[in-house]
Amino acid sequence: MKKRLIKQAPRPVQLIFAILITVMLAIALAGCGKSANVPDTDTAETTAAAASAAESLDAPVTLRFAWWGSDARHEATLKAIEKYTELHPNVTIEGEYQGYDGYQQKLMTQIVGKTEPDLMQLDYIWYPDLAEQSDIFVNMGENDKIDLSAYSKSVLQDYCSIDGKVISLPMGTNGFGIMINKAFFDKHNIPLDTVWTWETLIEEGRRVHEANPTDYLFALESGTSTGGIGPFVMGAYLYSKTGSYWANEADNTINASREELTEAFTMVRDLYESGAAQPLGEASLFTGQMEQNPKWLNAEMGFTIDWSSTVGKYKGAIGEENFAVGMPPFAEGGNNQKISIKPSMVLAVSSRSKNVEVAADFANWMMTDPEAAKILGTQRSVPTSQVAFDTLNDAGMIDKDVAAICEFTNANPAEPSPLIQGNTEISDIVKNICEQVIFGELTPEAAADKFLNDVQAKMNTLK
Amino acid sequence: MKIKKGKKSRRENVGYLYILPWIFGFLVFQLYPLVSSLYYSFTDFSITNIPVFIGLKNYIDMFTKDPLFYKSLMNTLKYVLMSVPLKIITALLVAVILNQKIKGINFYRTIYYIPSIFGGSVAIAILWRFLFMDSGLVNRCLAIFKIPGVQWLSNPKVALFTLSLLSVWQFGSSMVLFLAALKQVPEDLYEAARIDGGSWIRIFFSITIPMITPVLFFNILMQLVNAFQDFTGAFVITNGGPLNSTYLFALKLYDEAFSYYKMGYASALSWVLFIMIIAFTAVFFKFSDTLTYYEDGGDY
Amino acid sequence: MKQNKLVLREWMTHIIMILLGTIMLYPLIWMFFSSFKTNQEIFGGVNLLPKEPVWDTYIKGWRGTGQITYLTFYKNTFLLIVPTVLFTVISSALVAYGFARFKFRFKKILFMLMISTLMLPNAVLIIPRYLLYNKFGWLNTYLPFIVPALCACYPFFIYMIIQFFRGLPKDFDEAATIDGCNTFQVFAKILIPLCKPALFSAAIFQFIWTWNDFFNSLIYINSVKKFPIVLALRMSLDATSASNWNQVLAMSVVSLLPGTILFFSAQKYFVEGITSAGVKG
Repeated sequence: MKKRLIKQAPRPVQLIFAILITVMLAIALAGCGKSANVPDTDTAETTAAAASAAESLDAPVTLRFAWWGSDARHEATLKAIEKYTELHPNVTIEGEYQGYDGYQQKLMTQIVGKTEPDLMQLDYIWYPDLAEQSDIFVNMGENDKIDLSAYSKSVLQDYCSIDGKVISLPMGTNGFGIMINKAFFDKHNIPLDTVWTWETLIEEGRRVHEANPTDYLFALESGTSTGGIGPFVMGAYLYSKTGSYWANEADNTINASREELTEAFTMVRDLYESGAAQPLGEASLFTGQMEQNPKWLNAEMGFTIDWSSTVGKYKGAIGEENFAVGMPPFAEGGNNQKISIKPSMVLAVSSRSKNVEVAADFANWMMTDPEAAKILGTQRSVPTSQVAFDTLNDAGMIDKDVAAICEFTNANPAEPSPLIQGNTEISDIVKNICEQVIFGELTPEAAADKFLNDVQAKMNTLK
Repeated sequence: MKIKKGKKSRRENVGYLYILPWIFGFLVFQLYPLVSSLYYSFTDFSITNIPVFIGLKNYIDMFTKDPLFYKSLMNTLKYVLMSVPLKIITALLVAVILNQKIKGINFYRTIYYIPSIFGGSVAIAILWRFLFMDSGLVNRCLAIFKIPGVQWLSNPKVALFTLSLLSVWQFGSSMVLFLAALKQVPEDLYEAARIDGGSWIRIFFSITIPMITPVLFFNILMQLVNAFQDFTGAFVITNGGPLNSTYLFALKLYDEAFSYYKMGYASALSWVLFIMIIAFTAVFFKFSDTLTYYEDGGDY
Repeated sequence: MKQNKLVLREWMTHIIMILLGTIMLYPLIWMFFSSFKTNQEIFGGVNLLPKEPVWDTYIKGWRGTGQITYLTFYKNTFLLIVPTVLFTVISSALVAYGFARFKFRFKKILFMLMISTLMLPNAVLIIPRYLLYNKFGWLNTYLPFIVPALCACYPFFIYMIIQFFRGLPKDFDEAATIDGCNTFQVFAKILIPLCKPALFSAAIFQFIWTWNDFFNSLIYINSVKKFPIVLALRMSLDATSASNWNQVLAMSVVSLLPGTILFFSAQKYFVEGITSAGVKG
């Protein structure tokens, strides 16, 4: 009787039965998974303890070291690794290298899955995402293999610490400046040593574009949290005009007033309306690749703004004789003319590594050994450690333009920007508002209101 | 009577045997992650911390506090409606033309398939930009004919269309399926029609199309499902711009999951996408039931 | 007269095909010539032929960085793809047979479930899957690709083959069963040979899609010496320094070759369809 009932039961009942069975199976599977988890963490702790007890610098050791870069950086790093393993034959270091795309995603996935490498190259702007996990990084201050005296205390404090703990070593320092196409400047009779304000940029740009409709004095992409209109134009203008960053990290509010914001957005709008800047849609096709912009290659573009570590690619694209650098634009009548500075990248060691001592030793060697410095060169920008910097400087291995940018940056460096200002979600909101202003969808006043509203709302959720 | 019953239940069990690999794979590699993601969609989960249950908040926020949610949905719908019909029609026409036994047909087929081999190759961004930037090849060709250039990728009103061209360019896989289907149409049907004096248009619509309806249906379904999830072009060429005009839903999902690390919200978004696709295809299934011809008698 | 008409039609077809083909392939042609240009020429102009050719891009590109050449990357890619494709086709065909030719309880539900998994966006499955594979110890191997293939986890192919099976009349099955074949023999001796176009389509698609799968490869494979080509191609792209784009393009051209060769040579399986003689026999 029962059999027939089920067979003849209306379809929904059969459906429910099927779903119940599959869900039960799934839960059973998930349950198996969870119970397997608990022993996992236990064994991880015991093996770590056992490992550090048994660790000596002579036992055979394999380390995993992850970094991103281009071919040149890969080659230099691999050579440095080779040198280290010559000096320490018991150590094998496996490089896990790739391009920038997907690096952070992969690293985060590895951290969650507890499979991260022993040594990790990081971008300091990722700290907020990693803040809750800061325990997985070795405290550099407490490790006796690491010599922190090679770096300036302020850099360590500002860019290498989470919650007061130094968790990474700065690998290189980036200054900030404009990349100039000299041929363009010559063509339009613009002196190379012009100190730009946003206002003079707009005026001069207007003149240049009216004379040659294909030429633009300035070009920049819409960008992301690592660069573009939001931080390099609007943010930079506000910082220079008002003297402080628009985000107040202490109490999670916005420092800039409505008037100041309107002024900033008006400047942004004028920058594009005047023809000083290449139309945003077109320039954005070269996000992160502005050196591939045909206008750059054909001297139809005057300059762009970028970090000093990118000098090589801009210069290489148009040739040394066509290239020059300069200070980034300031706001006219502004409160300061400080220039952005940041570490190009930082190096952290996983505290869950089975070979923390050896990893730390390698990290220290890589950053402070003169041999290593010579091998690595400026592949990670100008080295932050004093030892490495001096070695390269004395050997004349620092590019003169990179040196020039670092010089004027170091003469008047800006404080570190609040990390929340660089948060990806917030950067995207700012970027979108700037785009709307540039494409004429928002007036500067409306944009200021939207900024105050949307950005504050997002900041509230992030706290 | 009894023998028949026995055979039937044995045959039933054999059916299960054949689909066993799928059942296993489904439970472990699909259902389990699926149920996990459903659970995550009701949590606040930033990948580095433990998921915190927050009920329906993700879904509510999606519809009330996220203007880009609607924008990306609209963009995706437009993209699907632009790219899928164009792609299917092109693939079918080219397949019909390539179904002839003329010399060099193998070469031609390969040529039309190669764009699909590109996939999401790293070169795609460079190629599409080279073709469609303001000073790109297409505009220069137009200039030869004195046609004013179009801002293919830099104008918010045009960029989405240019992206759908990328999808259409890669019609190769649909074409291959159509070719395979065309091959299965029995020659004698064509013979009979020609004897009866039918024109090629008549033959096309009365014989070819009906005979390949299962594959036609399949192709349209697959292209729909893929188009909803299309990601590569928007990611590598325009990055959602300009002015978020090419911000497709898959890109939004990627941003939430892997740029903002809001896995809970991303899971919720993906469930919404999932349900949308199911709804779309359910309608399509119903609609096509009446139109498809199955050789096995439709006994399903 | 009719002869002339046919010849004219053939010529017209050739001309249209060549014209359209050139337009379709122009990006590839440009890519090929650009693999001999300097970065400046690639990005600065629209000319097809290099004005100052660089001849060693293929050699340099092949050598790669570090001690790993593209030979290793090719080997890895094949180690990954061949089992995946084989298992996909076999298991998908078996499962498709089950769905297409048998009636069993819950079939409609299971079928709906299978179809609905087609629409699962990968981005969200990937984290739970990553954690699962981590538990199994499959990370940094090719198992995350091969085992799901073994378990027919690609509903696209199952559904595709089902559709093809449904295009074959059940008379074949019945005739074979009467002759004394069991279900597997019906499958292997009757249906599979008739479905060759579908099977080869599945193989080619899976080959090419796995070949181009960037995100899954990225998440599951750590060591550079296990990288497949899709990862190797992007290995040197970084915003802070100039990449040798001519080498990247050169290697991209090379990576198109296996898929193209496979497609070209497998075509005869598309050309041989069923003829009416086969049906009657």
